[in-house]
Amino acid sequence: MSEEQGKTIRGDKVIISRESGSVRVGLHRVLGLITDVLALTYFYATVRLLLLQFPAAKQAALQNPGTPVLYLPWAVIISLAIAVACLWGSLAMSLGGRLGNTIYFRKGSKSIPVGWRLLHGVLKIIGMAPAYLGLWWLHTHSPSFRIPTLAALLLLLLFLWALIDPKGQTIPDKLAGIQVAVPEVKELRDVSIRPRPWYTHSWGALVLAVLILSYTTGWVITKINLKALLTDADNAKPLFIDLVTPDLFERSPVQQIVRVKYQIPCSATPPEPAKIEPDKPSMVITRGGTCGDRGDLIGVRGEGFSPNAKGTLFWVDPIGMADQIRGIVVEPDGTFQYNFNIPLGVRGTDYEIHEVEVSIAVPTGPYQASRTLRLVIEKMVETIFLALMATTLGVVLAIPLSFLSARNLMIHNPLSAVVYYITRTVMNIFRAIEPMIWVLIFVVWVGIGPFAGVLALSLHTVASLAKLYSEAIESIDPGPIEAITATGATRLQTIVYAVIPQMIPPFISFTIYRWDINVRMSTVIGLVGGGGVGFLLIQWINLLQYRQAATAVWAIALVVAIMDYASAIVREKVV
Amino acid sequence: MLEIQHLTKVYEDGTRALHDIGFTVRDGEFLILIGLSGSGKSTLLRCINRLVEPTEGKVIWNGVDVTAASPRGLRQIRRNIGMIFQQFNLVKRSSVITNALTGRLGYLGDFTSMLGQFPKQDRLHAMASLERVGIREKAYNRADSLSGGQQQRVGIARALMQNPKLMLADEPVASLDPATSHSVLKYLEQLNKEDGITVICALHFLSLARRYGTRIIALKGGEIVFAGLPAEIDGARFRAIYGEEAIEVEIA
Repeated sequence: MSEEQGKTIRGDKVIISRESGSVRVGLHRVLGLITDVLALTYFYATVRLLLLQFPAAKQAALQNPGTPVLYLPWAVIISLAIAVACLWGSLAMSLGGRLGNTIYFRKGSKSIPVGWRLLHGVLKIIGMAPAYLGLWWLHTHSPSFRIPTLAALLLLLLFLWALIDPKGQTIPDKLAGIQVAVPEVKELRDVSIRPRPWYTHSWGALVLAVLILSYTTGWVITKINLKALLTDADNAKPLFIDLVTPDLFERSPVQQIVRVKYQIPCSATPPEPAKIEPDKPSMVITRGGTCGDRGDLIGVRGEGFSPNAKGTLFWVDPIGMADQIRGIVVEPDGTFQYNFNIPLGVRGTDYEIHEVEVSIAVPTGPYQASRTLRLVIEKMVETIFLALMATTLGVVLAIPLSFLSARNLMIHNPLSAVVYYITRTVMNIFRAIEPMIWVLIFVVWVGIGPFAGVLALSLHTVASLAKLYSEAIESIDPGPIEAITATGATRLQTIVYAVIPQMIPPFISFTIYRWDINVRMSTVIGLVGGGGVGFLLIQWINLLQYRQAATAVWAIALVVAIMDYASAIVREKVV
Repeated sequence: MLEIQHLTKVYEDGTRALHDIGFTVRDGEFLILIGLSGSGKSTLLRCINRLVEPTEGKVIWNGVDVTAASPRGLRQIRRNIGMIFQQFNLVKRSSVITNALTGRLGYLGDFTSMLGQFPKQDRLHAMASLERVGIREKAYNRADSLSGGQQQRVGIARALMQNPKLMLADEPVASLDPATSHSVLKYLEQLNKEDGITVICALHFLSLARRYGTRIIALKGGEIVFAGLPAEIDGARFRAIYGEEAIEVEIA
């Protein structure tokens, strides 16, 4: 750094004036220090996480819980971080110092030698020694951590402040002959000095290191496994097939039912054997006669049934209760042949007549919308109206709230400023909580169903739109306001004629945007009980009925696409 | 008659926009303010109708102290003072005729104007004003679909709707080409000569000032450095106003 008539050249900036030695400088220093401590703690945490990925380190850590570097007591971590941050700051390499915009300088000299800087850092660390000792004592002696921990941290902060006298110069500063200042950069660039690339600065290199570390840690924490994407593709195949064949149409089935008599046990007069009839479905017992005992092997043969149809064989006991034996498939020539054992547990007194029943369902008749499709359509209608009601309610409530959240309208007198801050904060909180969570709350309040969904979506819509509208209000052109005020209009007239016309395009734009979001949200809030098609979707997924779920998914996609397209047209025409 | 006494305006960051300005404007004058950008012309005009609050000093118009007026009184004063701006300051999405009608807001109560219903005679008056400035056929177009010169004429029509006795013009032609500039200033001249409206107009170009003004006041650094007739500005005075390196440019 060089000094010249109060001008200092630092890097690529020309600093004209400085504010040194004040509470403001002290605040900047403290913030810088906190930033550095956080950065170092983050550094430690990510390095530790990466180290633990190596099996050797993991082993060592598990066997020996006190392994240094991997497991350090929190008090030690914080203390080390503060110590390193102090040194780092003194050596002008601190990220926090950069962000906090503080510089070290010595009056009348070009730069501060490294030795003095080291001394400065060491003196700072020594100055905080009491705080460390207190922290360590608390850590080792105190059984429960909460209040002592807070007290310790407070003590530390007080120390930081106590060391900074009102002039912003700590005792280490005085001893090392160093001053700290927050520079006023009046001229930004002396064009004769070419700026260095950001990564060549020491703090730039640090930022680069932090970025690399963060992304590596991110990769590890999110367990990214690219190999699985390729090798496990087969897992998804059946699901995919189901998803692309949604259940849309079905044909009403026609039943073919034939029964054959059987007596248990054999008596003197067994039932007549059945005959194959030429022009209708019929079945005969091919093996075992028409009477026998429980557990006997029986063969049945059917003819004249619908080719390739599916059906079931039942054993019907004398009181008419059917017991399923097995599923069957009819051959292409309309026949089938199956053997089975008479179930041991069939009920009936001796000599009573049981029956063998074959029941075949043949899909005939015209195609019609399947039950799935009808359900989905009904629920989609409910979904769309859900979105409509929620958006409308949201818009109506958001308009007055947006005026209360507009900085340029509200900041003028103290009372309205308070209202402004309260409104903004409440809206921020409501907006931060996702509609899905709101649905859970409202489901408990008003019960499962679309009403809970409407309430949840409306609440979120109000919060979101109020913010967007208020931002539009804050960015209006003051020119027309000035002109209309100059004609003698009252404040209210000015708002109606100058403010509102300017707000209509963003207003409509944001409303349409929110409508799109609500349509999407209304399809999924059913997953948690909010009504709409999500309700069906989650049930089908849980029953593993993916073809039915596919119907719902396709319906959602179609409706959302249509809505988006319609919104785009409205936007084009009106805005 | 407009009297400015010891007008001073210092902004919050310390910028001194006006310093002890004092002059008088008689009815029917076409007073032109000239000076470099940032010399205080816009601030001065805005102090006259209190769009900007002066730090010190008085503005007295026809015996009424504008600087000390109550909000109600200010409204009544403002509705007699028309103003046009460099950026036209029209409401872009509204139609031309709605923009012109907003000139009557000072005369209407809150409720009638809230619903957008202007009295019939005001609508007729608006059409007449638009006719006068030659853009009647654009009455129902959107204001931002007009050219710069046309938009400024809408601004003039809006000011006319107030039946003003005083017209303030803050660099009305700075965004316009030479021919359109003359056209707009001719309208102002017409209002001044035929309707007897006093005009105070801030301009950049001295040639325009010479052509249209009856009197010229020059500002530099927030202070008056010249007050007199257009013909009195010779080379030396010109350099004193605009600085040593300024060259006079003829705007044809």
